[in-house]
Amino acid sequence: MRPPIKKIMLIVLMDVCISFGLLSLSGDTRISFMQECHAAAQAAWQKEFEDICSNTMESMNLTVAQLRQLIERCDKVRLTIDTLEETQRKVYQRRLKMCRDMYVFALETKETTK
Amino acid sequence: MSFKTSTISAITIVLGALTVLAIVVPEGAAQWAFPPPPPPEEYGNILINRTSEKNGVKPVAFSHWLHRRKYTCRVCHFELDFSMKVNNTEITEEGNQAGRFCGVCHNGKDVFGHTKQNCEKCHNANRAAGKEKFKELENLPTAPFGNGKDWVKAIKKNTITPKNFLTMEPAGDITFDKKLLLEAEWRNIPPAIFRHKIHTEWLDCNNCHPDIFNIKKKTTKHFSMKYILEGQFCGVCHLNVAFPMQDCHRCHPAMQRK
Repeated sequence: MRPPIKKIMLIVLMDVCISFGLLSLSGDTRISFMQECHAAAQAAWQKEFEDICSNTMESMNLTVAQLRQLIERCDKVRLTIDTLEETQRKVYQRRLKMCRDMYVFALETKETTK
Repeated sequence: MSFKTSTISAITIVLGALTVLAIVVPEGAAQWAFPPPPPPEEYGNILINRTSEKNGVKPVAFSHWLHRRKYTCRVCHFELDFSMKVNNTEITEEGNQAGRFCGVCHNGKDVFGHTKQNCEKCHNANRAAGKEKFKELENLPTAPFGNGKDWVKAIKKNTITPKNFLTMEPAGDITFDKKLLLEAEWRNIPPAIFRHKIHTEWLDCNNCHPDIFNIKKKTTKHFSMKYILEGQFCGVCHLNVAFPMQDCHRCHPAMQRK
């Protein structure tokens, strides 16, 4: 199968445009743009974290498959949390651990009482 | 010197009764000592001093009753990551200033913020700080111990409506309303009844499971009063913040209130 040359060309072109656009911005605007990107990235993992951990109150009603999926999502979001600055990292690592442990506990309870 | 027969009989009876008691009462009972109750307006008040004094400031006086009128335990002990054990959370001034821990609410907008004029409001090392506000609880249903308030009834009757979350709304109200019957260690003590629902009005499931109650690993055999009075299991909350152990009837409903 031939690689989609047109698509690759388009992506490269877009990358060049974005880089050029960034370089052409003034210092302050560039920093502000980068901060916005950072904030958007932070919002994404935080939303995922909250989405995962808001289910703990219902954990005993979730199915084994749902619990396994939540545990997997905990492990995935943990990778991002591990890269945060110290205070934020410690806070979210501990909170995530509380959620994950709860899901593991619910899962084990369900599996042993089958 | 000779004793009358009746005196000898009395001594024998007393000695016999003591022997029976020594056999029947487990050795743990001798160690049962409820912590002396503080005045109601100081029950649940703690001093946080992980690094305060090391950094030349007075420890922080934190009042549970002052805060639980407005927020459930879940908000601080899960969303804001405050550990259930005092001085276990790495609360820092920088963290507060950056809007974490106390700084989530104490930001100068929602409530007083972390400014120099306000230091003494929290860093005062006074366990009785804020007692002048205790009268604001006068509408709450009463209870014989702790703060003298029945916080469970207060929620039930909507006397207070504490927020259950700040940003992370629980996906659904708990439907796992399992009631547990926990047999007491002694025959003359009726079983304790544990209702999940009452607890989840205040707490998230993960506040207790699996760290405090890991039934799978530790079983319910170890929920003895000895351990509870050492601050384990129910004792994590029911020694210092939630109604205290002296209120036997609340957990062992078949026991009469004196």
